[in-house]
Amino acid sequence: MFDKIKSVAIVGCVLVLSACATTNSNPSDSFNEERESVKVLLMEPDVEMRYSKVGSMELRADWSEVALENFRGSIIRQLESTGEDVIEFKDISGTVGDVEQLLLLNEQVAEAMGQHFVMIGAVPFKGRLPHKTNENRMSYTLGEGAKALKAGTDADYAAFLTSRSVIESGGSIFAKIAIGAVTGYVPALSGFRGAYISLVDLETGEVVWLKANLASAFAGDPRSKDNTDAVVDKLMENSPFKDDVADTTKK
Amino acid sequence: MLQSSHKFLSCLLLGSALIVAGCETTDLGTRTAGVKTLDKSSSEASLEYESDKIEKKVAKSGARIRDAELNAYVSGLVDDLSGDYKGELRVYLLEAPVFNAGILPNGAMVVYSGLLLRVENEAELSLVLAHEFGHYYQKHSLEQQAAAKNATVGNLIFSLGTLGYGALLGPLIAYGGLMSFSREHELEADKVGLQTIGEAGYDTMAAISLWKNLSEEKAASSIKQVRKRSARSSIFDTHPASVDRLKKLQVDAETWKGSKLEEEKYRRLIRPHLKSWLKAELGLRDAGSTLNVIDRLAKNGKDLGVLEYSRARVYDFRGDEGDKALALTHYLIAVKYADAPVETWREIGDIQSSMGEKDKAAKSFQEYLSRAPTASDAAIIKNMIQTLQG
Amino acid sequence: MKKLLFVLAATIVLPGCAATMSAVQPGIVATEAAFTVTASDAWTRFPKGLNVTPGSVLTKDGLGLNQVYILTVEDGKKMIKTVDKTQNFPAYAKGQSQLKLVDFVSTNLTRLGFANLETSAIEPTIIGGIEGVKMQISGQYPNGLNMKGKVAMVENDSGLNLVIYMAPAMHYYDRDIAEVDGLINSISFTK
Repeated sequence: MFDKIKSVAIVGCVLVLSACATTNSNPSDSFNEERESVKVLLMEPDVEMRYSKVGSMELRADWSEVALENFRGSIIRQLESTGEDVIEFKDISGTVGDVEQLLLLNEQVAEAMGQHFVMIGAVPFKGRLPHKTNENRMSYTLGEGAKALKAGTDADYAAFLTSRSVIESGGSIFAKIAIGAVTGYVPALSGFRGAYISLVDLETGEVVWLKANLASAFAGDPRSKDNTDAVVDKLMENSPFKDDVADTTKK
Repeated sequence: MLQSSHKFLSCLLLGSALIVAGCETTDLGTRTAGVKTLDKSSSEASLEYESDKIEKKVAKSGARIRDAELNAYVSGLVDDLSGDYKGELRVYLLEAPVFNAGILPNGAMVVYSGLLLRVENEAELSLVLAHEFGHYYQKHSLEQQAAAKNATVGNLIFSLGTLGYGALLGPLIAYGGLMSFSREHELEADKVGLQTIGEAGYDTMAAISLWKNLSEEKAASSIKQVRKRSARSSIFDTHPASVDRLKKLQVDAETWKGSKLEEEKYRRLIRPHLKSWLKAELGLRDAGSTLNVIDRLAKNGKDLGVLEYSRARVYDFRGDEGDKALALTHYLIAVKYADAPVETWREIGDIQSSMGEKDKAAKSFQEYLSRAPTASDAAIIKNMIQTLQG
Repeated sequence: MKKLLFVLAATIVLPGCAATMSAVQPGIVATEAAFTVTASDAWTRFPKGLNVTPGSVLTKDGLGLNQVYILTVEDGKKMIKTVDKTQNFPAYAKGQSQLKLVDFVSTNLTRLGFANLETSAIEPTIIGGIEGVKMQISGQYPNGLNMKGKVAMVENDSGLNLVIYMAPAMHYYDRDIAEVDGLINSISFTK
């Protein structure tokens, strides 16, 4: 139910998004300027691609699987380009109870961040929970329980990537125009691509990086490898990893 | 959570663009055991892919009934009933007071406690399981989706009648369009169900008794809208029990006729859950319906401690003229049986206290505390005793 | 966020969805209920239009991470409002025992979708100068995440006054419980 309510609450806002807007929370400065490469635990990317037809919407298995592999490749490439050591969660067998609860908590945290970090009209980056405006209140955390993921993996950070896309069929677009002709109200077209990434410090549980990329129906189709590379580049632009590399280069 | 309202759930459901298609039926034949489609771009692959995702969520649900013996029993029945398809189906038992069961296109079956509480024997349960297997076997989800391609945008509205429990059923109800089948599909599944249980040696008259019982319960409901049109998420709505359907059931039931019922065995397995499942029913505050269920459970004279306690709770919560005395009477009957919940003494004390019978009330509360010294509400009970004795 | 896509498909402008949330600053918090509380920290108050209870809902990080309900249920009224006429919810009746009040709250929370809802440490206590009850609750969110919570309830002429706090058992409950205890201890009746 929580999922539903929150989703509904953000409907109005998301609908007015203009193309290619990005959101990011305040990046943490918890990274040292000079560092060893960090170990990043890549959680299974959560990728869904739907085909919107008149009267139904299919979650396409083939597209979703291709998009998942593209995103996985892109994020690994991106992290390795800044010298990080990447391990994948799917390769770790036997998750313990604490990890399962932690991942469920991460779902709730993701929902809560979605509730907070959305754009209203043309104003991006605005938090919807008005009291969370002070710097020190911006943070989201999984708490000390995040150590459960560190325990089995020795990873420093966990990376969560989520992507949702809708490809609209010609028939669906036509139906909407037909409705418009009759009612004077044309429903918005639902072609959509969205992705977000969050990085969690497994020592403290804090979400140190959160960035979303929302594109219109006409860009960023994740079935294309080049497109997922471009989306992931945007998601990781100015990330703590990137900043650090830049700093190191300066020296 | 409290933010929920029907309006908002509807908003979401509009969004999920579900299929409540008309009556067009597309016959895609039957499933071949052990064969999955290789064409990943097909609607069939899409349905299975989505089902797999939903199944993962269901598997983690806090509403899962964690009773190894009961789970193994229901899974075993499904295995036995599914013949060549044995092993393709997985069963999830969820605690929610709704009479329903369903199957996802990938073979994940969900059975709610409200159904387990209402079926009277293994034959009736097997019928429901075999009916759901029939939907799977006949690829009804896929046919439903194929038919929906012709649906108009106006058909997208899918109304959800269950507030609250909608959350537990969430991932499934969000998928509801695939779980509510057309009349033709129901009739097909009925036939598969009856044939399957008949061949397994069960008494197929179970079908008739099941529908009769459910119709009587619906008629007994204290909620007018439930009596009029059960919009509650229920097999009544997703599986309409029309007169001709019942007639067909009757004919088919004569065709395949066994004798196995297994009432005793079934009751033994659900016995540990009676109190908790009835508590969930009580929470629906539908006195008529709950009393009807209790009457049926009590007719073999078993489990009367739990059942009389639950009956008393119904009167206690209803609060009509004379209900308090009625509740006390049934609490007092309950304590004569060894299986009376320990809370019965507490509730007796509570009613006696409200009737001004201070000494009796204090004694009943003391009895409760001596039987449940570590009860989570011991502190307020002690407080109440003090007040009564003060 | 994960359901974003489903929702986007709605492509319908939903009235009411655009309701805005408001900030609650530290200090005395005026509520929809018959009492005030004093917050030592800042919160966000959810829009009334999104609420199906007769009261206010506060959160710090989003409802799935912390929610505090502050409400007064009047005699004969229900804690949950619904337009679905096939659904009946428990009504509060004045003058019931504390045992019935405990059941009233836990039944309503169960109806709202918390699985395996249990009450514990149910104790009489003085709230806002009147004898009431405090209790712990636990259960699971719909996704299976363990939830912990605390409830304070006390009756007066206005009805049944409630403060209900719910948060994930992992990290969040403990983080804010002192603040919530502060809210409960500062209950002051205005009616």
